[in-house]
Amino acid sequence: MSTAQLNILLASGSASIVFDARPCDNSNADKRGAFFRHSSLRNALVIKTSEGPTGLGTRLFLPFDSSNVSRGGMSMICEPKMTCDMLEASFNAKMDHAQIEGDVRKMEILARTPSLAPFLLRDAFERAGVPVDVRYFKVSETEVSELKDILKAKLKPLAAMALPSIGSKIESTKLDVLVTKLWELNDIEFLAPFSQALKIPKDETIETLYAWIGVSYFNREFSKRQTALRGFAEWLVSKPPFGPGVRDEVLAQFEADRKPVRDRMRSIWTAAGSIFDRFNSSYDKLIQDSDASLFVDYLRRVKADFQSLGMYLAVIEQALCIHAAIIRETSGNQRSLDLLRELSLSMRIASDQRQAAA
Amino acid sequence: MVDVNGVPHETLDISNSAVAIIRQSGVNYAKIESLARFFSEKHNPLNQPIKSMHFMMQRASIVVFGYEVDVPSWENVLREHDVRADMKQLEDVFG
Repeated sequence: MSTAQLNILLASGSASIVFDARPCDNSNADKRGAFFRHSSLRNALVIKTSEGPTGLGTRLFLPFDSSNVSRGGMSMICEPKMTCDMLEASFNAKMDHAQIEGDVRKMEILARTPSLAPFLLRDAFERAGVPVDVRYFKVSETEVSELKDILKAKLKPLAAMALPSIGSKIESTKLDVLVTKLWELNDIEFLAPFSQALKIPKDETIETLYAWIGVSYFNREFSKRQTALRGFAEWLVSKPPFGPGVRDEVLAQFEADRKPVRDRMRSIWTAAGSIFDRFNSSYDKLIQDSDASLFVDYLRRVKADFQSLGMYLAVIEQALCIHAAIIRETSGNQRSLDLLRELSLSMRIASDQRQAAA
Repeated sequence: MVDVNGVPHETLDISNSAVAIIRQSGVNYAKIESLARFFSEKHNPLNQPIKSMHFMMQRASIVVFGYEVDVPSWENVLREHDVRADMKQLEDVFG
């Protein structure tokens, strides 16, 4: 990722790809404590980027000047499984393990969660039982409560499967209890018959059902971006923004840069749509025909789908941020062409890396 | 929730023309005797009488009804309050 791209993403405030862990230094603002405890990490920003063979990376960025991130900094990759030694190696310094252990755990959660969307991230920390100041997640209590209700409602069909069948008297409160248990995913005894009925390997029940909830959540995130993406899609095929007399090679390069961006965006949008279609058809079959076979099949791949959606969302969000920066420039100026070129290049590199990994 | 024959039922899914509910004992779903209605404590616009309702199918603990309400923008109301359990379909914006 180029410095210009990084600066645009950091400045974008896009909460699904940038998590700002810096303590608020505005004296009028809340007095939140540091997110990361170790002094070296205190001014960190975390970015989800589309990079590497899996296509989704989590990068910790430490700015040289915490009040102006565009002045550069150093970055390191966060992994879903990290050790204090890895952190020490990145910093090339000895650190007190007792002091950094909590931070390493936080970095793991940030890396494991396929998007930095505030609700998802806050939920991930809650489920992991890692205490953090929730004011770092830009989502209000009301929004959290509404989203939980909506997602829990989507768990009702699964909860209904656990209800006694024909002829029994079912109280709505009982369904609520079951739905809540499915949401919390912390009662192994309750979950055991589910994993058996849905043929989920015993040690993967929580991760699988969590991923199912996550896919359901992502559907909202993708829908929210549809309008902006349509605008971007139109720009990618619109008349080139040059006046008369533009050199043929400039025009040709502009089109050569737009094409891979359009191809990649189209491909990931279609792939995301296919995931939601599979989710829906397996769900419909379960509800309408009480046939769990498609659902069971779907659950086998839901963890991968959850991760893929995180990667697709990161690519879409990055592209939308860059596009917003391009259209802020004077139409067709050199900086806008450079930004498009870098975006195009990053998409080609990501594509090559995936092919090489495959 | 849906009130069917005077008994409140938990909904599983509501589309524009069909609703899936959790079956309860002692209710004759084949014969709708009183006016059914949707009701919600949290979302007032969802509180609507159901103009007509017909039994469609019954599966284990679920009953599905077709229904009609006298609200022209009912689909929007459902969408606004996100009572659909299924997912929003993504449009082909790259056409």
